[in-house]
Amino acid sequence: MRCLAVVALVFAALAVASGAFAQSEISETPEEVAGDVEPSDDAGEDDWGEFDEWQEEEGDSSGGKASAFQFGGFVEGLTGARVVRSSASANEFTAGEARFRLNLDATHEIASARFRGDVYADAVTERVWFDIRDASIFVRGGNWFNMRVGRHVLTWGTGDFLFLNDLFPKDFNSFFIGRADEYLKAPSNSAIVTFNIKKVGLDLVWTPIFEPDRFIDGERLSFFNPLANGIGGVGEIIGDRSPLTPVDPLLPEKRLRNGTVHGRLYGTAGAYELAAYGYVGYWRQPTALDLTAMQATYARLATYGASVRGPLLGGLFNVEAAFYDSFEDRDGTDPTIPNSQFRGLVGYERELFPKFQMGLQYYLEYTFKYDELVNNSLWPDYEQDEFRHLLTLRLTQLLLLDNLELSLFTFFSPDELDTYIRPRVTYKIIEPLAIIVGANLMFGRYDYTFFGQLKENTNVYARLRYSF
Amino acid sequence: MRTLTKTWLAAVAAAILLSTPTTPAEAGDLKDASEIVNRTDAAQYYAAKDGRALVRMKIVDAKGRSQRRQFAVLRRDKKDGGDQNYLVVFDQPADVRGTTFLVKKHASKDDDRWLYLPGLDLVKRIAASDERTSFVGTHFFYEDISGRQPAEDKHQLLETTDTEYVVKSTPKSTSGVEFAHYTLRINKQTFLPSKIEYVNAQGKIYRRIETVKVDTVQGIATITRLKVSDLDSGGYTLSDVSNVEYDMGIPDDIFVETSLRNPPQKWLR
Repeated sequence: MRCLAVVALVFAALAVASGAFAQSEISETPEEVAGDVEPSDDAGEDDWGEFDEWQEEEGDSSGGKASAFQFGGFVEGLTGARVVRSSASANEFTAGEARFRLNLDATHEIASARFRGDVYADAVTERVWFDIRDASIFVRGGNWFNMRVGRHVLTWGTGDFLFLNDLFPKDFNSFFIGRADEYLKAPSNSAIVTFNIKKVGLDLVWTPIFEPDRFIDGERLSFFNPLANGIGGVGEIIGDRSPLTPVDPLLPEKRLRNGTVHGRLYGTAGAYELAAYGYVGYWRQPTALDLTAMQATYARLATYGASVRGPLLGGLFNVEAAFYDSFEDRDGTDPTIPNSQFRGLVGYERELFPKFQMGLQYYLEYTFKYDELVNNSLWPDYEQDEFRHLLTLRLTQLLLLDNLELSLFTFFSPDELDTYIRPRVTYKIIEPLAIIVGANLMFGRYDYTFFGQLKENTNVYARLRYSF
Repeated sequence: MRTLTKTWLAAVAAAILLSTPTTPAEAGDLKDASEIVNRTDAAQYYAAKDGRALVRMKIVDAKGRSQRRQFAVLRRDKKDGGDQNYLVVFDQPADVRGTTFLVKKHASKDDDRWLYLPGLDLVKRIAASDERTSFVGTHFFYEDISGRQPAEDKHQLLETTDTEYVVKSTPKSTSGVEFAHYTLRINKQTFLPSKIEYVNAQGKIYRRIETVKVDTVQGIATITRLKVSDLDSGGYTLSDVSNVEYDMGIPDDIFVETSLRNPPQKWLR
């Protein structure tokens, strides 16, 4: 019932927005059209006068005060629904939410404070959620040292929607239901310290309490569970109908030694950016199994990697590699712990025509000790291939003075025979108001592959955002 | 010996002229169009060694709907007429607040550009793009903001009036440009352009940039109000520059990735 009410609200908002749009189209008066013919001096005193008012409005934002304060945010409605038959999920909606975001910034010359908080009424989970994405303090200790402490979002690496050396928390539910791209990254309570010596930077991040991914747990989106019918049984896609969902994994104990540490050393050589990365912590997803509790859990992981990015043939290329050292099972014989992997990425992007961008990526996952893995596996039929290949294509076209964006992102795996297509149209109707319409289309020959398992979640969505 | 002295004197004269681009040309009118355009480039894009400005733009489309942009810019020149570093910090519209842009402009190759998206904490490298497309949704082109290399065009002095030089510039290569030529009206005192008109292959003026206001900041003539008009669509963008300060001593080491994530407030305010 509540679900329907929220959906009705979002549709009402959409209807109002389309009405506003229609109105602004109608307001094209003959005088304004006539202005096209003789535009040379149409910027009269009134036009420029606006800058004086504007200056007064914000006169104090840059007037040499000790600290400046700013606030902003947005209100957003999102509705998304499955467009394929799903036997696993009873709820046909993948999203139905009304969100309020508040951004606060207090800035001082050597320190600043930042807050980004969301509250949203979620009709799918029938709850109101508070999600603090950022509450952090930044301190600058000269040009060579600075730090940020608190809750915040962290990102590094060169991939486009592919993360090799970025082991910061992600939110895959948001990614597959049409929330804004920024929600793919989840926040963590962390401290980051940055040292800059000439052209070399060093970032060290410490997250005292392990913050896992917001993974797909079956409540909102269905996924393939190889143990749906017990060990040795037939696996199947499970969703909110299954008593096994939502998956509730065993988290590492909250002890000092269970925190995670991330490091990055980076610099430039001419136009080329080089970086080396390291991480000690846990796999980001509950891919291990605690057999005594029969519960999913997180195995320990260390990663080491490097990347390079630079100009090539009028575009940009990037190469990144990472070694995933699953050091609790280096032999690869323990079926409850994932094996070590090598992950590699090569990417190239360039502007093909004015305002039309293309990006291509090839990504490889190689699993070490593959024979041992299959021989000991609890679900040998469903293990991913020794070599998993993935290709991605991004196409983006900006039109109407960047007010209209057509975007397409496609993942395709030639060996797993599955694909994920993300078409999206973003239109800035008037300055504060934007409408976003898109789809998340997942296909796969098999139920157990990375994107194939998500096929019953194929959805279309619409978002309406008012920024302030 | 005589020729050597003459060459030496000419070199010194050129050095003085180039290093003080806003000094009135007392020795009489210039005859060389390329020199005029080089000095215009220097006056418009290389004033002082470094600088800061707050830029506000109002974009008005053909239907009269308007949008705002506001950003602060820090600039430091590596070499006059050559490489420059820019850091741009966006404040408006609200949905891009905190977005920052780092540009390492190169005189002889593609610029290196990075964009920081605060929501994702993502530092995105931007591929080289067409310089003659909209700058952040305004009617300005990237090239209007960062400057077109004078050597990309052939310059011809059409006219010298009491106050202005009129120069016609024709691209040496027509690939990547939408104009057949453009004419610059350049103030003889300040070497700042007062009007630039772009002409298409049909001989029609379809785009115009006008200087509306020039202020003197720390003795340097500075364009503070510009209007660019798209005469085909009827849309235009007004640009207002305030809070200008030159020779602040901005260090080179702020033009790094760290400043994208956390802009250096010391130089911005």
